[in-house]
Amino acid sequence: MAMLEIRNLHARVEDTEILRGINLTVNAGEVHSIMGPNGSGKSTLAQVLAGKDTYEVTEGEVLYNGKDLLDMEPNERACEGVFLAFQYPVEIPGVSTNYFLKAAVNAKRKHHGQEELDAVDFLELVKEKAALVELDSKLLSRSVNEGFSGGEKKRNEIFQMCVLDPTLAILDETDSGLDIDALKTVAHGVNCMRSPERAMVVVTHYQRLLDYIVPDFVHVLREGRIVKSGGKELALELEAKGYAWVEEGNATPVATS
Amino acid sequence: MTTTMTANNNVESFAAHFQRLEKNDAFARSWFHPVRKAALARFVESGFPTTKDEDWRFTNIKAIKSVDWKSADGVSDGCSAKIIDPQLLEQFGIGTTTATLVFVDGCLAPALSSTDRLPKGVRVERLSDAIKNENKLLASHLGQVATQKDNAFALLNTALVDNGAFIHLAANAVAEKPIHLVFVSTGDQATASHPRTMIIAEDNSQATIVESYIGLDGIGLDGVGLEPATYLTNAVTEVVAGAGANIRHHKIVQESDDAFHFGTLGVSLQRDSRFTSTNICTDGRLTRNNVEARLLGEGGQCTFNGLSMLGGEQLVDNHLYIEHAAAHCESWQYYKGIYNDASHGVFSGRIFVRDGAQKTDAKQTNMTLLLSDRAQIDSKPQLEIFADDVKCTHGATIGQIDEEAIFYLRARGLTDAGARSMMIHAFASQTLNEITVEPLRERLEALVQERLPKG
Repeated sequence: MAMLEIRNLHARVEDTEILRGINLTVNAGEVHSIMGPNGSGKSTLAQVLAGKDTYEVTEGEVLYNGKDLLDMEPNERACEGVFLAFQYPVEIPGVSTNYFLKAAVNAKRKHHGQEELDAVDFLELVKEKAALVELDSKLLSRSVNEGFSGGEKKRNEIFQMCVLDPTLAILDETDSGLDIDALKTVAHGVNCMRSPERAMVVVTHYQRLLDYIVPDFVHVLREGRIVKSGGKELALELEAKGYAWVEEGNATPVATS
Repeated sequence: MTTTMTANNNVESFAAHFQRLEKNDAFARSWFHPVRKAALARFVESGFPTTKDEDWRFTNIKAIKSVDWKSADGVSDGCSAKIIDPQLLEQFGIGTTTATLVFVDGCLAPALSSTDRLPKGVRVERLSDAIKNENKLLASHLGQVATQKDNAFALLNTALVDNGAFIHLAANAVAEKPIHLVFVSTGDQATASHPRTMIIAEDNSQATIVESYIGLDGIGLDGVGLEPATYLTNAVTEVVAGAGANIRHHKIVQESDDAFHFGTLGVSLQRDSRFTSTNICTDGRLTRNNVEARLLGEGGQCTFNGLSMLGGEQLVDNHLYIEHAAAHCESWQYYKGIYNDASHGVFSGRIFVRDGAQKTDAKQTNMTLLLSDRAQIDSKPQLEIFADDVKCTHGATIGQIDEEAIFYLRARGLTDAGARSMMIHAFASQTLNEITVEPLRERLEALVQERLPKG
């Protein structure tokens, strides 16, 4: 059974249809990259998978480990192991990262019938993962993302991913706005998470990230459909020829499997 | 037992009560009598404010004008407090205190009070005793701090003061533990009480003072709720902070669901003194908090924090006036409100900087979280500046909970209610953390927790 099975997914915001029949199968252990020009629906796909209710799913289905993902609340999805690294991490005044992350970790543990993590174990976990993405642990006792630099916000996302240990990680343009050092650090954090039990969907506009997070599959999204799929070399081809190449009709929608 | 009367009659019935009190010799011969009489005359002349008065634009007090208030008869010495179960009050305790005075429906309850641990230079007594004993210091300050004209409620209080406390801190005196003044209403129908507190902190003295205004009528023993009663608390607190004095003040308004609370806090600050106040309002049908503070000497600092957390059809109106009359003073106002259901908040903050009050640093912030479409806030920040080298800022934010933030938290595993609770709590915490009396902070923290969305 595939971990994630997206079948003919259509979604819209108000009257604008953004996803127009996405088909994608992701198996455990795989890293898939979703690329595409601005407005192609990449971020919408990521957010629909996480459960953002601004988008209305009008057609299709998404199975996650055989369960109807679209029927789950966002928090249920998170507790079941879905993680979204936000393109624009939200600032939350007055709530520290440590505080909310402990609540998140324990919500997940409770969901799985495990005992809550005590403060000591939690802090140990946090310390280890913060070091992995070189996130200054002082930031963790400050309000979530408030006053963080762009790089710090993205590192905070990957840090949270490491702590929450998801089964399916969706990274939404985690690379945008990062300098090369920050990019390497973030990629290092992501690569440490690669495992046969885990799958990742890496949404990006630029091929650059894929030099550091090497995907197993690359899909090109255009106008809400996957128009071309291939191996990691597809990303290089795109880089060389530009998105205009897929827009000129060199790609045709992938048939529904 | 309430009767409908016209506004005029209502004012007259307070005047009639005053005339009855005057028949008592001790009352009529007191040095304070002329002060009362003058205040009454001004009150009768002005009457209660209406929404046509700019300062009352958003707060309609029509409901209090239609009640024939019975004034609590605490002025005469014969007053004895209704016996209440100390257990009922225990939940409002604040831990070890330097002194505690508990007033039940306007009468001092000696069994619930304690003033036997007062350190040297600290005096805490019943205001009526201090008036009776013709305390000179009291006489020179009482009514001289909360002086804003047209404050009908403060005038009425001065005329009918029936209970309260006199706190005197001699120069350099320090009260390590807080002084707690508890004003309990048990819910006698249509009772009006007029508590008054005078705090005189001489040079370099230091104390923490907590005022708790509590309605017990809605709280039954064994958690069985009782019918709330309509009563009126009309309180005035005056604070004189001498040079270098440092006073922390917490005022908690937890009146009954049907009660009206009018409070005036007047503060005068001498050179290098500090006054920090935190006002928490969690209950009451209509609450008006007037604050007037005057920075009279260089280097003075005052901070006014406020947190209101209301629901139902409750209303709170926080009205602040901060006057910078001397140079190099600092003042801060941080008022926050969380309004649910059809509750209504009003904030009016005015910073007045006099000519010559150079290097003033004044900041005012009003932040509001509206949890319902029917909740309402009227926010009116004002600056009036007559000096040319000052730093004054003001700002108001009004909003609902950021849904993007809710989604962010939910995408990490928190339930919708859990995420909302976390954000509301964070909003309230910043103010609760200003409460320096730990048992009080814990109690209010629990109260806030109790009201957060569950699930």
